[in-house]
Amino acid sequence: MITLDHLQKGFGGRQVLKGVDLQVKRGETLVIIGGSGSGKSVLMKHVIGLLFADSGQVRIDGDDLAQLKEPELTRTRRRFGMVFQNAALFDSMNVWQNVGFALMQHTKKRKKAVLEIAQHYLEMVGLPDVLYRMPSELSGGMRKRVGLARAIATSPEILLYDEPTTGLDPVTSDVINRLIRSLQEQLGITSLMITHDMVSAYHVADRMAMLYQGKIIETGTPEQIRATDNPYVRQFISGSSDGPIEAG
Amino acid sequence: MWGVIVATVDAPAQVSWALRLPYWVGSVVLGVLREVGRLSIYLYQSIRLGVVPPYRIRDIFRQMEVLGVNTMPVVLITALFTGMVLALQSHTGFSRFSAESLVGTVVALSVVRELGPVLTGLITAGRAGASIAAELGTMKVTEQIDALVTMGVSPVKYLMVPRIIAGVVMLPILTVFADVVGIAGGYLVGVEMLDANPTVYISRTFDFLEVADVVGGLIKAAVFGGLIALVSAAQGFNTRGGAEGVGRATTGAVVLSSMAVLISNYFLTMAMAS
Repeated sequence: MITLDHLQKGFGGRQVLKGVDLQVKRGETLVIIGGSGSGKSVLMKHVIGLLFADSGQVRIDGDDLAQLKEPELTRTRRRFGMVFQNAALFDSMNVWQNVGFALMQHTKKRKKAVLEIAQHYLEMVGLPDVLYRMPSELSGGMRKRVGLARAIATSPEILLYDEPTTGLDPVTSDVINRLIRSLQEQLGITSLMITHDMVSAYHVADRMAMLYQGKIIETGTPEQIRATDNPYVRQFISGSSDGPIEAG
Repeated sequence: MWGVIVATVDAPAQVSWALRLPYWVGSVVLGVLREVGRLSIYLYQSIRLGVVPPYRIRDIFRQMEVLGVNTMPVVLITALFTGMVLALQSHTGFSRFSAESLVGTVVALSVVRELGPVLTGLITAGRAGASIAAELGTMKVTEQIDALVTMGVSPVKYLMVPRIIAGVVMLPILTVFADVVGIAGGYLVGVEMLDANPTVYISRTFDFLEVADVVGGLIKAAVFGGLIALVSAAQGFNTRGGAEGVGRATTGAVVLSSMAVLISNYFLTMAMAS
């Protein structure tokens, strides 16, 4: 469904992605792990067309994103839902307006209908009583859950998660992980997550890939990743400072 | 202004003294060209996306309030005192060759043709320009603008176009108020302080004022309004690097949009004169 073909990207002479090859199959959850500054966020921004590669391709069901005209690219983007690292809620709107924003923009649904849909998805993420609160009145975990409700409110085919548990306490992280897993089971959405939180990665992944210094150095199921001989992967998943990986 | 523009050009690690001047000149030229190019693209996109529905009337009215209504008090105070100072200064000058009766004419022409639109433009650049850049800059660094894109909503259409339309509509309206208050300020000083004959003052004010003077001033104001919104929104969209970046974008918006007002004012005046 998503194919990254020898993706390369640099900024101001610094090469961030050095030839990434990766496939995400329909219905699976692929988690990309990697340290800070390894290029995970840059990689994810390529998948949804927020950034474009210097060379290589990103293909969604065979369509090269870089070759799409603006209206086609917009249509393709609308097949995605994205959960941002810091939720990226619109701070001038209340919670239900955030969750229903895309529906208000792209459908002819009336306000009452959108409000009901927003209520439904907020209940799914365990926040039935925050409809009229402003984002500034929510805790970090609640903001992430509202961000998740906003991402799934348009019934996307593909969900992208940018470090969904970063900055949260372990208990709230577990709530988010369970939520992501249960949404996958309920909705069967193809998902791509980037994270450096190994607890989260093991919890939600069907398959994992490790990005290191701009390249994918290992892919496999969570069990294969746990049992790998690759010293970089072993060091990363054990969280040790001893080994070949230099701190970012 | 140069600081804002040169800051966009990467400095090399080492530049010898002999190359400093050509490097600086080259950096400024590149910076100016880059900024003009970026603004041209935004302007083209704004026009292309602005003419197709949905028109987001509610957003436009909200921006008209920010750009126009909230800026009104500062514009009125500035116009009042500028008209008053103008009357005082021109009276001092004209009294040297016994032409005090022309004070009203000079105040009216100066305010309507030049000071009304330019001062309104500069005040709007300072107040509304900073506000636009800070708001959009914060949206940029907190990924709200990325979120819009991922939801298939064009930030130019959703955020920039309503602000440009509000600027084009509200600046002429603000200028009309500035003109009236500026002329009234001149009248206050001329008649109440300097003992000019009220009837003569009023007739001299309007005898030489033509419709073209007023219309020319309002056209200038409309262009300034569009430019301020365009430049400030572009600065917001190109914000990088957290709170410090938002501060830089805000300063850049005020400096660049003020420069845009002053520079475009010259060319508009030249075009109207010819």
